[in-house]
Amino acid sequence: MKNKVAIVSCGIIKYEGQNELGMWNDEATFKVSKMALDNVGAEKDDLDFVVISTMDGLDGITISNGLLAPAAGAYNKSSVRIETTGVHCIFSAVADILSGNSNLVMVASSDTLEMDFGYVTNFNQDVYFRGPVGFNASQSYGMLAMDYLKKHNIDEKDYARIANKNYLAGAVNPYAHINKKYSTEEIMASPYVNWPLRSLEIGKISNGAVACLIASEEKAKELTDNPVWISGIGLTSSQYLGSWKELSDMKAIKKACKKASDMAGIKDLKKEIDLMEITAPFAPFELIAMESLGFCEEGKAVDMLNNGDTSIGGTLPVNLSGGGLCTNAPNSGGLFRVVQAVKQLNNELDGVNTENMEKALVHDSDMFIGAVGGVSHGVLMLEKGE
Amino acid sequence: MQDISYNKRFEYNWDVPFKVTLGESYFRFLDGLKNKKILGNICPKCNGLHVPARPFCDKCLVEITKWYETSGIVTIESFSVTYVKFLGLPDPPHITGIVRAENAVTSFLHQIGGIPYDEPKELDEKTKIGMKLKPVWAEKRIGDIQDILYFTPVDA
Repeated sequence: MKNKVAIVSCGIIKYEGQNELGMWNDEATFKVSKMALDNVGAEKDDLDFVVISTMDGLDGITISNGLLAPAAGAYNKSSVRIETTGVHCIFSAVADILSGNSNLVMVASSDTLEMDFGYVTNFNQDVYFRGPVGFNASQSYGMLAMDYLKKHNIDEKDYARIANKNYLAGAVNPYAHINKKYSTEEIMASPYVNWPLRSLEIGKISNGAVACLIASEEKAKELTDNPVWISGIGLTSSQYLGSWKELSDMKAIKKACKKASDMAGIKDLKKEIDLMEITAPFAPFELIAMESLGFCEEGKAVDMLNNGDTSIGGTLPVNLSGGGLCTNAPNSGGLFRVVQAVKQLNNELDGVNTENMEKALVHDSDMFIGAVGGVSHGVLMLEKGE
Repeated sequence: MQDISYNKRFEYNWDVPFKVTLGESYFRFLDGLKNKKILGNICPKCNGLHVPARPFCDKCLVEITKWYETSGIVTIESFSVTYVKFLGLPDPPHITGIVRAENAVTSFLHQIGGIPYDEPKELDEKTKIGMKLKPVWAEKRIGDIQDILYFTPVDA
């Protein structure tokens, strides 16, 4: 990018199960936003703009930014609410900074509501074509998982291995909701929900909150010696009623990644990216995303998994946070992954050594409502350095 | 986990009546179902057949006005067999399919039924991508997507 923009501070509380936080969205948003300000000695008055990521059906109230924006410091300031997730919010923050309108932007999101997620994601479909015939997010996950399994003739056990890899990472992440090291055998023994997906291969809904401060280059240097620079960002939407080929080949991820890579001046993703956080609310989406992002040929991501390349200590660790299986927060999951990548680049996470890792890719998506049709994907490139 | 024993848990739900007018394209598609017809329309620019019929083409961003009546036979493009009960969804096991009419450039969702099985797990193998299906119509049809009860194999 011509002018530089950085993430200068993060605020996060440990993620828990549904309705286990003991506070409403505004209080959770306040806590993490205040934490992000305090970490760099900033005050509310330093903020120019606030971006909130929520979705009405996941907040239990409509237009919830009325409640949440002031909790993130927006009283008497510019603010917007964005229904899709973290990378989309950061896109808005970056745009406002690059326009010269803002120097410091708060991006915050929270999940505190207990709900029947299967019902909510059926309720969120249109009521003419999708909702009435019986469709929710879980079935969309099953469709993609089935398609990938049949197309590449891989073993259902590979899906359990991805889940196991994520659970091992989540177990040492102090912010992850699920900290249990489920073995491949335990995962294989869990019941089918949507064939070929088993219960332990689908993320359970998490509650928590997260915030980060985005700053212009000048403001970043004033506030911290430890900025993480946003080097590229791309967003792309898919079709709602497209053909299965359109819906399953993840063109939107490819295009978002191309935009972000070009902006970051990345020539060879495989050589240049050190770690990734991928939105994968069901285990095998990690494979689909890696291939769509261009890290390997179609059907070959499973080899990287089984070689240990994507595990803790591997050549290209993916979802060191534990991913969507360990923290699956519908509103704040995207921002959670951004903050995890920032902490990894700063080598701040206990339990994993990410020293000397300098470039990260974060994939984000609103696919938790339904992964086929009408999905928007975002790719964010982050890097350390002067 | 924090101690939340001091807290009160409020329970509530949304029950909000809405009304919407869908417009000509969606209306004609749904109204066609009353007469056991699955209608599509064709983009004047890319010639792409859209089923369900749509007011515009996503790819060309032009209005679609040319109508087409399909044979009613669809092909399974993808599916998911569900083994647990979800609120608002049919009882398990049930199969949700993404199906495509003729050479349409779009697809749509519906339930797939009428595949015989002894054990529910057999449905994973017996449901095939590329399988041809025909609609099973509701006796009383009112012009909505559930006028088709489900799609079933053409040879069933």
